[in-house]
Amino acid sequence: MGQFLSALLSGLSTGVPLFLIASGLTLIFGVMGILNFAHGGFFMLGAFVAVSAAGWFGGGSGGWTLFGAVVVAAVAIAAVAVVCDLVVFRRLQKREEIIGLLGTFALLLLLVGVAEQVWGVTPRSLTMPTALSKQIALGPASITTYDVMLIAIGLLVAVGLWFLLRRTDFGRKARAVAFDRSMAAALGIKASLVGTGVVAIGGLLAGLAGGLVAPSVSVDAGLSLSFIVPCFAIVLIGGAGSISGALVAAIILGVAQSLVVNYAPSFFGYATYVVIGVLLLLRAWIRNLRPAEEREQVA
Amino acid sequence: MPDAPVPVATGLPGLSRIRGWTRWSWPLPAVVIIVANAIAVSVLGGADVYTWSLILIYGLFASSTNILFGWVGRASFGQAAFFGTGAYMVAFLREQDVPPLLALLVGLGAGVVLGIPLLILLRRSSGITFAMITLIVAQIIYQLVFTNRRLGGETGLSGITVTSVLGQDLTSYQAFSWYVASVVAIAMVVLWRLSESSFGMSLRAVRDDETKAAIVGIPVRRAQAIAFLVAGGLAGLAGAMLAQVQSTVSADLLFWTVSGNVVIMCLLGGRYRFWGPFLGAAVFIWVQNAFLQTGALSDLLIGAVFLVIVLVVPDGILGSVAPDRLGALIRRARTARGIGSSVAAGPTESTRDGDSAAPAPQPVRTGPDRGQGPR
Repeated sequence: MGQFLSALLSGLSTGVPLFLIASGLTLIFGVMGILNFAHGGFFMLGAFVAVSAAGWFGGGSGGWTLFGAVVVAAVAIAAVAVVCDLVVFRRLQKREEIIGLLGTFALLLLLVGVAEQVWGVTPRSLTMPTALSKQIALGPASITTYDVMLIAIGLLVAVGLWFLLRRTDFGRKARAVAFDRSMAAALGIKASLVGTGVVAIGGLLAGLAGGLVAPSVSVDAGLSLSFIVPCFAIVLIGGAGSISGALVAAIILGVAQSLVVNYAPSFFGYATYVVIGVLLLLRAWIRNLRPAEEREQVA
Repeated sequence: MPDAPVPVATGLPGLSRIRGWTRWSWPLPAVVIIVANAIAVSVLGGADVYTWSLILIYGLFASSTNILFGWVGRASFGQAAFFGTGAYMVAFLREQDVPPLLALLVGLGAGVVLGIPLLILLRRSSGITFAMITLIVAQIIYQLVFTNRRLGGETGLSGITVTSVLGQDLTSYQAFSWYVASVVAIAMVVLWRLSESSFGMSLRAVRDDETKAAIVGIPVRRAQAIAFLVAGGLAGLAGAMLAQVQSTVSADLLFWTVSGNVVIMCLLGGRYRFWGPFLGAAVFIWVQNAFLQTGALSDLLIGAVFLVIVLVVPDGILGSVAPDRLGALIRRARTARGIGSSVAAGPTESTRDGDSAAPAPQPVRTGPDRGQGPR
């Protein structure tokens, strides 16, 4: 029982980076209509920047080093994302979705190349702060402080995004653009500016995820490829443009991954994809139960 | 006036000839491949001939992917699964004394068989969803291969030797290149016939407008399904040949970046042209090889080049260098007469397909001024 609860809790924290990346992806897809392969590149760059920034802050195992590194990573990647929007996304947006996918795929290759150029091909690592590697006992279960931090940040981001989209002027504009771009533009909303804002938020979240994950993984260019496919699946399962859908799908996937690691480690690897496949089929099945006219409306 | 019976289209039309010239044009792709191979073999030496064989194989792979991406208008991001499956089939048979050509057929068959369960998964998806589901399924297959010890796991399988085929010695790069070129030539002839057949035309009609295609009696779902299976089979064939050329296979062949690269190849050469994907594959591999010599900079340069191509040359190299003359002519005629007056007879967007894979509907001559050429 204790092991099961621990696995559940660590599954929640496994889902958090997935949620951070996927929520940015789904926002960009909703507002710009681009499914952004390069988001994996943003995430990877975030991890690399965090490693370097931790070096500038002294590189010890103090908690503030990681905090500073993560903040620097998030801000830096938001800036990178804005540049990508101005140079690439705006052009791709006018074209069909598939071309957008291919263009961002090329951008991903470019970002991987940049990372290899700046940080080399040998994997880097970031020291886990001592404050974050403590075990906390919760009844029969136990959880590390690192996992607690991840879950807390995930909650904060979820609430923050909800507030941003539902309660602020920018959020209303973003939803208007996502609903009908030309109508929103006709009402005087600067759609391209809203798009840049959304891409910046997506970049910020991806950089944040990269920085947060950096202490627990070996940081190399492969990160960009390994995280993006599950995150695409989360966007599809949760519904394009739906933050809450992404949250639920990310948690399910994270918990499933964690349970598999704990109970059937030999299945790790493709377990993620099998869960994704089952969720996608379930989603298609649920959609088929609804009347046809409802099905036409894409979430 | 008695009611005339309305002709009803039943099923897919076979390989009926639409235009007279397809009657004699069928060996054209084979001639192109064989001539190109003759030049390559005599001009290039050593390792470059090996690279040329790779270009032939990836050219076939890209052309098969383009059945989906260019002909039916659905981009699959999982074609590497078929490619890799074909390759692993050959690797499996390496210890049985199977003739190389039979091994290729096994690869082709494996590609088709793999496509069947996928079709069920993909029934209702199109656009981005289609791309994503193919990507995810291909990743599942990649993980299965990657973690399976009997399939060699990370290191893969090696020791695939092909020394002779039909009594011909294949020990030199040149001889091997001829072997590959012959198989690719046959496959390209089949593709050409398919592209020019009424089935090929119906695929383009489906691409341009599924609803309209269904209205004129094209079984849309069946056409898409057949295209998917043909694409999978030919990808399997290409993979099988790659295994024979490289003599090793590894799980890398199934990774999703391979699928992404092959779609880039189609776009690079021009997805609305018959030879576009082939040219794209050649340019892609050439660029990759050229940049590999720059060391660590290669990924950066490759990404930058492809990004610029996607942004700047949307029609691909063939689509931009050799503009579609026939299509341009028709468009000009339409503009001159006013688009509204020629709607009934007007060609659809299919005319983008260019001079090789020419426009599906021939414009009906409705007026005396139609088809007077450039003004």
